[in-house]
Amino acid sequence: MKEVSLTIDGKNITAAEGTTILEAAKAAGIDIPHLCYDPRVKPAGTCRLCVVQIEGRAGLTISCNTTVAEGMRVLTENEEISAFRKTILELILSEHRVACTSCDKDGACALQDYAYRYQADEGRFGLAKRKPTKPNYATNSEAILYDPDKCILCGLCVNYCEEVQMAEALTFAGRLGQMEVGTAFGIDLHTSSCVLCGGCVEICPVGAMLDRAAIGKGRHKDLIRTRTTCGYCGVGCQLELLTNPTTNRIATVTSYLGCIPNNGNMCVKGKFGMQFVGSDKRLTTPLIKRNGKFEEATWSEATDYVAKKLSEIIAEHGPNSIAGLSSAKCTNEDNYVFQKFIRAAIGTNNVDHCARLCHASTVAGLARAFGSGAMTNSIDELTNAGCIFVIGSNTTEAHPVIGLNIKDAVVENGAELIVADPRAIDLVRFSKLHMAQKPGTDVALINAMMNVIISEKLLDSDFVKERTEDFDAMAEAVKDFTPEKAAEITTVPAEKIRQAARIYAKASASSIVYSMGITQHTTGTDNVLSLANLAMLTGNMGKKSAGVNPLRGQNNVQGACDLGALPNVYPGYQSVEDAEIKAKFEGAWGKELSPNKGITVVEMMHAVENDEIKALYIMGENPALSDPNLNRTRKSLETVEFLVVQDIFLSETAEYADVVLPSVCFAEKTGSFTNTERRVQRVRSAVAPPGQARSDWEIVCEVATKMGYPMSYDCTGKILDEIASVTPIYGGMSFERIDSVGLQWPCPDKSHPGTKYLHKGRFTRGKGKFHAVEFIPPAEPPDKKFPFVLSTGRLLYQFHTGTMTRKSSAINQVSPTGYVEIHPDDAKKLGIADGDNTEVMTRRGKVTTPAKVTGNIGRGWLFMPFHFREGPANMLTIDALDPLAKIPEYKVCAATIKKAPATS
Amino acid sequence: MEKFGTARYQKMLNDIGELGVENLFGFLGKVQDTFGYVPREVIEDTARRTGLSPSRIYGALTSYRDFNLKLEGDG
Amino acid sequence: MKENKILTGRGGKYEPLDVKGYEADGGFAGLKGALAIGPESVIEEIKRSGLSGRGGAGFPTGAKWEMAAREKQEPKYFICNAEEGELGTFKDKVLLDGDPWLVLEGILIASYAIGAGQSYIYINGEYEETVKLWEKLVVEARKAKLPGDGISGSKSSVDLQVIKGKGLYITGEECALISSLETRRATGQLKPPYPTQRGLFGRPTVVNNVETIANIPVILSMGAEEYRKLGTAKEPGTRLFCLSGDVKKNGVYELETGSGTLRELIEEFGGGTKSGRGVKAVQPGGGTSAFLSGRSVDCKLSDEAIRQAGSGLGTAGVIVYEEGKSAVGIVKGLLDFYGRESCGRCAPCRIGVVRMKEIIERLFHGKGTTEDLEHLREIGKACVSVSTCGMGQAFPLPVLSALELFPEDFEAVIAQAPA
Repeated sequence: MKEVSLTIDGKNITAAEGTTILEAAKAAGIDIPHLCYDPRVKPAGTCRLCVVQIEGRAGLTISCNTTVAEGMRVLTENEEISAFRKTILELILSEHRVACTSCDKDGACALQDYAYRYQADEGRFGLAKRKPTKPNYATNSEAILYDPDKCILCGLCVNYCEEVQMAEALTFAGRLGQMEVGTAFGIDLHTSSCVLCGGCVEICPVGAMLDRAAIGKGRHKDLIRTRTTCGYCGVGCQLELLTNPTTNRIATVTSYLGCIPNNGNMCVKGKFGMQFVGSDKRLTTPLIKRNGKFEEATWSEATDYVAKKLSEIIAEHGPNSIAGLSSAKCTNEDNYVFQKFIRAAIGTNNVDHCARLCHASTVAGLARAFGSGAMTNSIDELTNAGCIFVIGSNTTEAHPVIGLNIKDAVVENGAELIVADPRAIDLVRFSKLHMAQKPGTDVALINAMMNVIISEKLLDSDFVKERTEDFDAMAEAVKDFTPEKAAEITTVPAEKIRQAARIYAKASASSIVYSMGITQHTTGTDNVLSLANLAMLTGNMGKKSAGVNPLRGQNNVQGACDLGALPNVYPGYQSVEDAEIKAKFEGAWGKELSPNKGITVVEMMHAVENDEIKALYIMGENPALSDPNLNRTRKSLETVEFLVVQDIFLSETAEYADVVLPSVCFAEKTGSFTNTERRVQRVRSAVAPPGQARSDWEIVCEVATKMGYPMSYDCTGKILDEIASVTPIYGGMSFERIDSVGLQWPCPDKSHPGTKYLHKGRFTRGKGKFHAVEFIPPAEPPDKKFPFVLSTGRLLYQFHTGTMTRKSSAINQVSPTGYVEIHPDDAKKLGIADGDNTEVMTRRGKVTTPAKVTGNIGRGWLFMPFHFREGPANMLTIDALDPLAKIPEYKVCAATIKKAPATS
Repeated sequence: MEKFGTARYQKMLNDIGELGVENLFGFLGKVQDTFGYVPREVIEDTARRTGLSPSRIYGALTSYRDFNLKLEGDG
Repeated sequence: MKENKILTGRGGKYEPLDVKGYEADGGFAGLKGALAIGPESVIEEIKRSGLSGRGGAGFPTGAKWEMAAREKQEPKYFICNAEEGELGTFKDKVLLDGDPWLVLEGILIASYAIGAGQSYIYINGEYEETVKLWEKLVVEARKAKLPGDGISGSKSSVDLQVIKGKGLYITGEECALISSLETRRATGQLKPPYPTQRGLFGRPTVVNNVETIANIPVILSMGAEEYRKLGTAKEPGTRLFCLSGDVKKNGVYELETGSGTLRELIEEFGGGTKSGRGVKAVQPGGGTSAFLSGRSVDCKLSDEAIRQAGSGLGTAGVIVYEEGKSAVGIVKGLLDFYGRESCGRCAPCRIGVVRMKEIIERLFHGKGTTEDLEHLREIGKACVSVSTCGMGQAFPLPVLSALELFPEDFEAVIAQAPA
């Protein structure tokens, strides 16, 4: 990028060509007033406040839409400019009902700031009158309030909705005098195409759009801002929790421009999903179940009891009769402490967590192919990809902020988007090509794409030769896998497969983005290996904007894996079966460790049935709703001899517990999360915990200590220091270093800058390894009795088992309950109308849930979100496992559906 | 002015050939002139056909004095 | 002072839909000439002619075409702007009704020169008969064998959509017009990018006024050299002067630039003022042009001369106000109109025009104060200096000039105000 030199207010400045004067000035610390500029949207130029004088140019020029030029001399303030600004502000104030006294935005209002700066008089051109009150598009919204009396019609919200979120919900409506922000036909916001990202509220420079739940909960100037990492999904958005110190409550949530990875953008969960923190349903005291009923207990009673019971069970049945579930919701520090507790204090490797249920196949597959199992590239690199191949990821719903990057790449930078998904997900409207493969046929599809790439000589032979091994075996496996053959299996037309292969292979840099549509199969590892094959075949590895990018589900599922909450590896993916490594950890932890791999999540539940597991210690997980084949899982939870659950709510799982230990949520704890792009980021406490709730690591340390294995840390920073000392990929991590923008692993030492993309020049395992992958059909194909294929998945508005999201009024309004998606033709045949209650049945169970009749799903397929305790989809799912990764096949089982009998 | 009817609307669509962003404004003008307003179903239908969002078309039409979104006297 | 009807001379000589009649009267000579020399030479010829836009802004036409022609993006669009919403301006209608084939020929040449596929003519919605005529004309033109048919590969070279405007003054502004054709809200847009770079649907687009376009076939058939002999050296050609206001006879008169004075126009063609009293003020370039006082009407009929006198030729809509009228009432009339026409996009114009209208109403009803006069000046100047488009930059000009030229009128209404 060429640099140009100019002067602004006499200051010599260099800026990249194409930078606007306003941006160049801002970077140089000169704040040119503006009410309608935001770097994320195209210049609107509606407020005209940013006018400047450019030497040699007649009149004034707006600086938000004028780019810098060599030798330019700019004056941002003089008597004339100031006078115009004052006049414009006074004009705006004559339309804006000044109500700072009762406005939440008091203290964070740009108009207020500039009015003060220019001493603008709000009444000089007449005071704005209150308009007659009439309902508007947000009147009935639980999320947003829109006050047309305060709206200055700058256009930022409309432009954000159109250009950044691309939801196209908001528009300007009406002519001069009646002009307002609105929706099409003035329909209620929550029934429009709005996705409740809250971007409009965030970008509003005044108080015209407000977070409804926050109204009256504190003016911005009174609120304390705590920067932290979002506790919802794996994107790891940087948020600011705005807390009211007098109430110890989060009033509202915001973010800030320029932050990584979300640049101030949020999704509904981050913006409107934090009511759970201050919920009165939070656990505040330890509970011990006596005679089938929970009774409140003191901490010392509770931890004494847990330590005593666990010690007894070890004494009687040995350490391998205990298993622990760590948590992808908890911090790196919590996870490290938990697995250390299980391994060192208990003495078993029976530790796992819900990554087993989402990306175990990623970890297994990518480790085999490349040597490390994580997203190879970084989120922001997507923006510059030539081709993005999204397979089995409903990105805009499950990872909404990454969805923004993908949409931006397509719309602004012309990236070619290929979507492979059985459903017509939202990304399809941005895609060049949509392949609606039959669920469970991904290997067939990818093999055929590779068949085309090889037969049409679109492969990167140099890369294959220099950087990989076992190409021939793979080539042999796909030799006969023609697009025609794949078309029969997948139902995707052969020509589409060819086109997809060509687009993917020919683009400058192609990035594969996938998620649980790939992993949650009995062939999950195979699916992942196939994608790895595809990327290596075309040389899309070890370079920018390319790679194989699994989007991790929970906020810290990456970290929980990294920190060894897995039965086969210590922190940093160091094998428990490697004697040298075991010795290292024995040295570090001062305890003899088990040389054998432990068992996995679903295996734990099954082992209870065989009496092999006597006690389960579950930290922040909810298997009673999240595991497959719930009847079986719940039976295990019920029958296990001793169950400890550590959580923030009395979850479905906690109800089965013998002891419940109240812990704190992300907004109350310190530590770090590692997001999906391997970025370790700070978590900072914003509010005090409710009641006696304590940090997970503190509770675990206390139990361990009482069991005779003393564990204690002064603070979480010290835990991270210990992590760094035993975990090579985290070797350079410390709170100090991750403070501002985090640090991406591998980061082996204190001077290492972190790693933006993996496998540059060399794969972690040396050479990339191709695998010959044969197509294997799903475990339970449909048949006469169960003729439908049932898939489960996620919704934008909900998270995991809904324990947190369902506490939000805004979310409950748009996503009150679950449903089953069915194709209109199937529905018609079965006499099911949209909204009818249906019974969905599989060999494992039956649930009642309303039907959502939609053409977005294929004939013969059903789709159910899994978040809802009423009508829980996992009553139906199958617990057939991938043989390597032990991940259950949530995405395919055989089901039947009928209209539910009318209830009185 | 005619009463809005789907058959008449369909005929207008046929007359224009392929509806796209290039001729949408003129087409909506004809709908206005024929029926005296642009019904909601027309905005939704033309949005589908052109790939524009209903909110965009709706917002646009409300900026013109000579476009009505409701039949005169129809509240 | 005599008219020289190089554009309006054919008016009424043939039935409007009669292409043969047009051809028989020398029609299509320009188009044939254009096809013979090729697009680049056409643009050169137009540049040599010195033709500038007749829609108000006066941008050199050839240069505009060249900018669009040089852009690599395809397709390109040509738009003929027949919105003609400016107060005191009704010249385009004379051409659209009287010699439609001339305008169509101009459109074909322009589209050919810049390489446009689709073209549009956007006609003021109040000209209902004109719109109907043009819809028929396009049908006729597609049927007729025109020079140029087949050269673009399609059977007819006429790919013109007739668009009826939807009642907004602002759609006369080229960016708002483009937004309108994109089914967006009719609002001004930021420049850059300019329409010639990224206009309609993000493609290079040329927007020309009807009168500008009518000049094209004429220039190409008589040659740029001959054309330059007409009018002044700086502003060659003729202008269609629309005379209205307090004159005995309204009308459109085609005069070579610089060929006479405003006073001569008013007296010889308009028959003097209605009442016979003197001329108090004139807006020489449509309703948004600054006033010239009656003492300044001896300036020549060229943009240059009128600018020196303190206004501009704009659309050549000459509005005459006779002595005895109060500037306050005149200005109120103007703001009544413009006060309803801001597109609402940029703050100073959207709010400023309404506040100014309120103030002038207050003054008009004897309730104004001297502070109001200051506010009028302050808001007006801010709008002129910082608004996005021509409307916001221009509508305050008559107000500001009235305050300057006729302060006594404003003082008089304030004097009445109760203390």
